[in-house]
Amino acid sequence: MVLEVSGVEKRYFKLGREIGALKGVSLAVEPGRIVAVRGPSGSGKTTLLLIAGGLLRPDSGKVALDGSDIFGLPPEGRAALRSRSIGFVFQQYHLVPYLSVLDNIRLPALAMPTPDAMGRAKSLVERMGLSERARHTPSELSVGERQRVALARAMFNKPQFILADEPTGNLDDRNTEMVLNCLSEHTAGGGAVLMVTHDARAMKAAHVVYILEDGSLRAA
Amino acid sequence: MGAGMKAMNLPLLAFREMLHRRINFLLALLVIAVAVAGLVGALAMLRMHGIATEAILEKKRVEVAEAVAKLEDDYRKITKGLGFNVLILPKGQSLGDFYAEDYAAADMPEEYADILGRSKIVTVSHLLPTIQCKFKWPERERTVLLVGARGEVPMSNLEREQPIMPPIPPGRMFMGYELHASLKIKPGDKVVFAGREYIVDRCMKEQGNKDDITVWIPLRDAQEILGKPGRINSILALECRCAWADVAKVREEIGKLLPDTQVVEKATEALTRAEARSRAAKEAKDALAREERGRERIRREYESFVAWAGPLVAAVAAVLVGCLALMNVRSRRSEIAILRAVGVRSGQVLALLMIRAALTGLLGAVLGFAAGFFGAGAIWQARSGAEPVSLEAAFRPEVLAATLILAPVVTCLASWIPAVLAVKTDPAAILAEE
Repeated sequence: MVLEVSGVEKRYFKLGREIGALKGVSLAVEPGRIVAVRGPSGSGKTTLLLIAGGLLRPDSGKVALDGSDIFGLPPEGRAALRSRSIGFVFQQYHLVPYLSVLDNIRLPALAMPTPDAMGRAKSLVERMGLSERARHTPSELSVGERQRVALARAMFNKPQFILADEPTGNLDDRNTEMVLNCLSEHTAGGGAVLMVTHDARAMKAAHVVYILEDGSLRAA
Repeated sequence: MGAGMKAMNLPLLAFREMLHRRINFLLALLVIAVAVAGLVGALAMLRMHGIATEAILEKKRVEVAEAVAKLEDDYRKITKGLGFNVLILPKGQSLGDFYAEDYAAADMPEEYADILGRSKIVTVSHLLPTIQCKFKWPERERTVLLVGARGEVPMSNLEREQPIMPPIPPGRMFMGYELHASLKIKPGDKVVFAGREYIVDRCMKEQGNKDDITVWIPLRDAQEILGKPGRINSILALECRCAWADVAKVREEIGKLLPDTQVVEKATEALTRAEARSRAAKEAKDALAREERGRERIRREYESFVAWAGPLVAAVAAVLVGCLALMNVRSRRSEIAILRAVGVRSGQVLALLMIRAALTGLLGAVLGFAAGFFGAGAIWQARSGAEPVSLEAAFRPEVLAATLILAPVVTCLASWIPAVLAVKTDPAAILAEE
């Protein structure tokens, strides 16, 4: 299964002024590969990630999964596709503040009923080294622990693709290594990762690195 | 199994969110509970007012019924004692002469009394045939009113009651006050009257009228003394049972049986007193009707108040709940966006927000109903002079059912627009901006 982004353009309007976030961006994310996109702040990295995940419709261009345009699907169809095939990791984690680590990890079960959801969540907790924190809420976790919870949530439904926004941006070396190892294991199992980052350690783990600058993508 | 081990579902998520954002939840709960309490309390007060009113009116109805019964009894006694009566006179008798002389000069057959007695006449209870005439008591040189009476004529259609006037035994005489006082006669004395010897059976008390100069002897004796055997000149019909002295009705009945007679009213004093009691009874009934109208007016005012205050309170509560719901979804933008990002459908997000609204509405309804109902009960009991009303009687299950249904529905409606706005908000915009 291949995720292809072709000729995608996206413009924003701020105070009546047009800002070109993405200008004809194309890339492909293939199984077993970690694709990294780096670039300065405001270069459109997060926009690219949201478009690739079907959350943000581009002004033009196409995002295809195995050749099928995901924006040709209705919103509910895209939601179902995300729950099956795509896991998101956000820079700000976006954990639900009143749920425990275990419950945050199994949140995708709301979208797609999962057999033995609790068992799956527990195994991810152990894999992320969070067994001692399983019953804690996000406010009781360190930054690194929150990032690991966000990653575990993204992996809960065993998606083909993980789209990660600065997954190691705020982490120390130990946590960075743990997160990158998880992403590597995911690709080793046939999955694929598209991450936007400016962390050199993350870029080292990537198989392909792109640079996004002024809305245009080029190989590093 | 702890809370975290339960299967993840929307109601559980909604419940945990309510516990997490306690202030927003408690404020919404408070708004709903206060609104429900106000409306339920007003309805409960209305209900208690109705029950108390009915109890008061029932008491008054009983009191009025007892008073009217007493007045009717009084009336019966008065008419019995004084006669709510008519006098049957020979048709040819001049009423001018009758009122001037106080007795009839013309006469009629004694048999008339028996005809009436045998008839089915229903307007008269007692018949007293008499012959009366001014008469010079030769042995005593006194002018007296001689009355020959034979006692009461039995009415064939009535059960025999105690006679209103006992017959005068043969050889006996009743004597008026002025006569026995001036002649120093006492009961048991023998007197001679028109050549006949009598024992004075009764000496009457002073009446202040013509009775004081009257001598009562058996009818047969009087007819012989006056030379009018088998004749009488009046029949006193006592205790006419026609309502409120309907003399026309008595005349009609008697006129059919005795066309050769005329009927005049007697004893207007009794009529006046009876009418006074009738007016008193009517006044009592009118007072009850006024009380009922007054209570009904108060009830209508209460209902009118609830009719406009109810929707107003519900509307204000709905606006406040809507504002709180808007605040809630604003504070949950990120959470809702991440739910959408992990694949939760917009319908599920909408359901999550509606479940929260319904739970809040339901809990607010329960608390508000309890507060409103028991609060109204406490206020009612605390009111000085209020008729005691039990809470069981004031409880209306249909109000509870309506509250438990309407409060969640109104809360959901009030939360609908904020929920739809939340669902329609582009999750990418939120996830990108943060």
